[in-house]
Amino acid sequence: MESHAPAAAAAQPGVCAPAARAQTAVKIYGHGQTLVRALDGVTLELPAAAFTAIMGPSGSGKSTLLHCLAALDSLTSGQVFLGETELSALDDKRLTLLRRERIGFIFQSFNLLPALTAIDNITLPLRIRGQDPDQAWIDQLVRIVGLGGRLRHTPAELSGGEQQRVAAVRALAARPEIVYADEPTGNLDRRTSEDLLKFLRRAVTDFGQTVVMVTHDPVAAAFADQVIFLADGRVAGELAAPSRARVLDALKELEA
Amino acid sequence: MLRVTVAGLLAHRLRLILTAVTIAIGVALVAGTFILTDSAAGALGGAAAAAAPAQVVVQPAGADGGKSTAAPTSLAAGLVTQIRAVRGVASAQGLVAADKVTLIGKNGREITHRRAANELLSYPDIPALAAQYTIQSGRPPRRPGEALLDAATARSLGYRVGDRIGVATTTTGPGPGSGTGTGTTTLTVVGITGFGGADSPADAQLASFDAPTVVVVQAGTAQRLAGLPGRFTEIDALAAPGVSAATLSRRLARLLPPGAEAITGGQAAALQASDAASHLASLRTDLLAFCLVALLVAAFVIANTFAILVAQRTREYALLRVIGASRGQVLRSALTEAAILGLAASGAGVGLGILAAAGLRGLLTVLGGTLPPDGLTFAPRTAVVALATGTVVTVASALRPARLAARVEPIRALREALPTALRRSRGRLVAGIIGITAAVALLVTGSVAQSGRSAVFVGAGALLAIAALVTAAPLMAGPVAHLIAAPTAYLRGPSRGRSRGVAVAVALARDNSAANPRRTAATAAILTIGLAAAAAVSIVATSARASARDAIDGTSHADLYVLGNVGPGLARAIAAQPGVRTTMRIDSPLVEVAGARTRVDGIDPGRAALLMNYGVRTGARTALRGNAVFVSTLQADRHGWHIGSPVTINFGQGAPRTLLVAGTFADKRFTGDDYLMPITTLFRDMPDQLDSSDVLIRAAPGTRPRAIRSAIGTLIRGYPGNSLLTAAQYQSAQAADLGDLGHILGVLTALVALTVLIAALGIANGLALSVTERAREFGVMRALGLTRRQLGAMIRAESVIMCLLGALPGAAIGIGAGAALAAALTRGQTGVATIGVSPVQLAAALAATCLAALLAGIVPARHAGRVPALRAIE
Repeated sequence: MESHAPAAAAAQPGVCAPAARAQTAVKIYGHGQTLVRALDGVTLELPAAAFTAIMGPSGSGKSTLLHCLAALDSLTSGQVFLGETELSALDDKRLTLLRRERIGFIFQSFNLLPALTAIDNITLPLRIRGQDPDQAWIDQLVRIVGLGGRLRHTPAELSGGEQQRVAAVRALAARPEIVYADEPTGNLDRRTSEDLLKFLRRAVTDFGQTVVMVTHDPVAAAFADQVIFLADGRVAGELAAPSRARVLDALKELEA
Repeated sequence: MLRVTVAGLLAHRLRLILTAVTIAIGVALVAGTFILTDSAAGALGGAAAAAAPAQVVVQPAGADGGKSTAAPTSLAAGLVTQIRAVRGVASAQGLVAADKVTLIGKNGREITHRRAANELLSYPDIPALAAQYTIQSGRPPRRPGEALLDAATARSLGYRVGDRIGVATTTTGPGPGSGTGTGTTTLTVVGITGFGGADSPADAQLASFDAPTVVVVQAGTAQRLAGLPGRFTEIDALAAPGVSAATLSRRLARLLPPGAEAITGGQAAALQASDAASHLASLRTDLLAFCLVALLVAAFVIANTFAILVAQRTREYALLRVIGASRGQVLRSALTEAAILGLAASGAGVGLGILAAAGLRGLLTVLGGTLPPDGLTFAPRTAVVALATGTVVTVASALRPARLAARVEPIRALREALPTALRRSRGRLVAGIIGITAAVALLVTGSVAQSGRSAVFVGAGALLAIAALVTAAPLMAGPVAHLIAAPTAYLRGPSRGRSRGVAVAVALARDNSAANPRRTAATAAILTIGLAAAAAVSIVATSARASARDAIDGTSHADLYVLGNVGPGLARAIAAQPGVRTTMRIDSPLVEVAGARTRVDGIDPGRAALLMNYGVRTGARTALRGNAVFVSTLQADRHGWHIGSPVTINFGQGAPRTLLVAGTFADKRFTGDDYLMPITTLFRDMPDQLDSSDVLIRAAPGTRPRAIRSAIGTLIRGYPGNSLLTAAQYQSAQAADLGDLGHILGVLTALVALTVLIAALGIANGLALSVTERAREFGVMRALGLTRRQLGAMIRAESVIMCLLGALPGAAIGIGAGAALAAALTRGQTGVATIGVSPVQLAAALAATCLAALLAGIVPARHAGRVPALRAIE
């Protein structure tokens, strides 16, 4: 039986090629009077097999950056890469296939399909790929998040925390190269947030999964290996081995 | 609250457009039906008024106007002189009216109409009586050999004054077999006439939905051409000033011979009008029945739309509740929305109704029929009925969604809207099973009921079956979706690439359909009705044909048929053709048997053995001679006749005769008539008919019918008004007559197509709305890696699943209802219930429906494909 860890598991943060990167990424919305430069020349690297948090005040462009990195939105200029693939060169179909084969998502509002049961939601990306689920891997993930008895329930019958854990398992089920999480704890209370973050931390540590998370919560950021700060569409700083206190300090400095 | 309601309507106006269109179409059909039939009635009333001056009409008893399929009875010319001598008579005139006249056009070919029989009339010399003819060009006929032609024919065949028209004539001797010859008299058209403002007689058109060719000649010419020398079919007397028509009719009645009656002009017009009015009423009923089907489909579309809108606006309703709106206010607001929509759409529908009326008339024309063209009458009643129907249907259909809206809890304003689980599924199942059982019972009752009453049972049964299926459909959505999607599962095997992508889309579509059973079932139900109607019409039509075929196959051994006005000369010539084994004439005049008008078949008993098998039940075939008559078991049972019973037959000439029952035969088959008698006896009692003599031909052993067909075809070319039919052609000709379906079947078919169109609109509407509703879901799927193509394929697969879920039960209901109706109808016609199924037609209806559903899914699928992946996050 093959290992459950992705191929990049052995790699150390920063040692080998980054999982994804942005090169002078610019994203402009509107024009004339209403012109907004959401990204104003962002250049950064996201190390493989690491847990990176992206932080910044509202309007700093952190969500836009995530959408562009995740092939959900396109840049006005500049480049984003997933591994060695340059995304702006791809058409809609290739972007779709790229999301399907290489990227996992966790959304703030869970975004489970209401009609499907928890387990059907989890295996949906695999079904879209036309691939049979790796049952042992999914069982393992389900055991870790403690969803065992709830798999036959529909989202309406699950609590918010349970729904987000289903979404997290869904993101990891197909072993993507990278998992993007957009404010994953935004709709959760303190305790369920912590459960989710522990799970993401474990995915990185134990299985070598690459996770990139946008958050405004210093507690959440403290679970990451490094924090990248954004302000006014630019990279405003980085912080390795963050703690809640150091993240708060950095944010204060940013707003000052 | 009204402001909220109106704002809500305006905000969703795009989503409501298709719904409004379906309501408008249904209302337009209702309005159109009323406008069309009112217009026809108006034209009829005008014609009747023009044709009824203060006069007394003397006619053979029961000859209801003399123009329909009356027995060609007549009055002696001497009666006119007698009538003129009566005190109070200002003037009197004998008239001749003959129908089923064979006319030869100026191109040498026979003038025929699909359903109307050509008429020969005599032109009255008295101006008051001639008032009904509104001559458009030329002048009335003044000499033998001159004729007036109706304007409709002049227009369609390009006739002008001076052109020639031929009338086939038969000079009849006093008895059977003596000196009968056939020839053609050529007349010169000296004038083109209308009839009270119309181009064709209104009553004739209403009776047949077709315009006959009418030739009007001098009385003497008419008598000769009609084979009625010295006789009239009607005598009109005008009252002197101060004498009322009623008084005069009483005076005239005293001197009339037996079998003749005198009625006032008013009574004659009323008789004619009531006859035509009953034709109109039945046309109106048939059309309204189909409007009902269209409205029913619209009702499902409305219910579906409002249900989806309510689901989409749950948060909005909850918010209203949070800020203090009561349940009642929310309910009223939702219903007011429906009422405004219904009223607006119905208003548009009434306007469209004028177009629909013109369209329906055009449709009748395309199908070979006509109605009096006399403007379009728009009665206030039409607007009231149509508006009320549309509004009531809309509000009633929105009732359930409105109640769901009122039940929205205020807390839903704060929480994500999620599909509610299907509750009371056991109740649904039980209700569905009970409903289906009751529906089957009603259909079975309908199938054995008399054909008049069976339609009521069958209609109720079909409606109940649809209701039961709609109730139970959400429970079936899941299993059926799996069943339908099963065939694509093999695509997931080792094959890769595109087919696997499709398989994924189909599997997703299957799960979506199964997971939202209510949405799936509600949209599918729209198609159920459409297909039920299509299948029922197909079954009835096929059964009518099958019934005629069975009846003919089972009872006739003839290889060829010559239909028309075969005289003994032609009959002998056919029999003398090489390769002909035997021939037999059949003459089927309309007479009165035991007080009821019906046809009797005069046959040659000696030859009948080789040509027909009418299934003798009692008595010996050889007993059919002299004053003997064979009756069908149906009539024998009804009247309590057995061998030796006397049967009174009024042949319309001379005193009624009494014949004796010599045997019974199995039901009425083959010719569709209940009585058989020797043709020699028939001709002794009434002169040889011009019109309805047919000849059955059997080829000699070893001779193929095709071999003698061309020779006989050449032979009858010299005898205009006859046509040669093969056994197969004869069957389809008989089938068209069966059940009087011919004139209405085309209209029904067109209306079925319209119903399927409405259903397709409904499906498109449902899919479009659900695409809006599911934009976020599609965004998630796109984010997770579903390609545009796959998303589109998924929506299309959903529409096909929905289509089959709706169409298959619809076909089942339609087949059941159609079979029940057909059984009752064919048993009434031939005594044997026959049910014919045309798999090709049913498959075509199913395919057309699915194609419509697939087309309906194209635009929504494209919209869904355009949903950006980011929609999942925003």
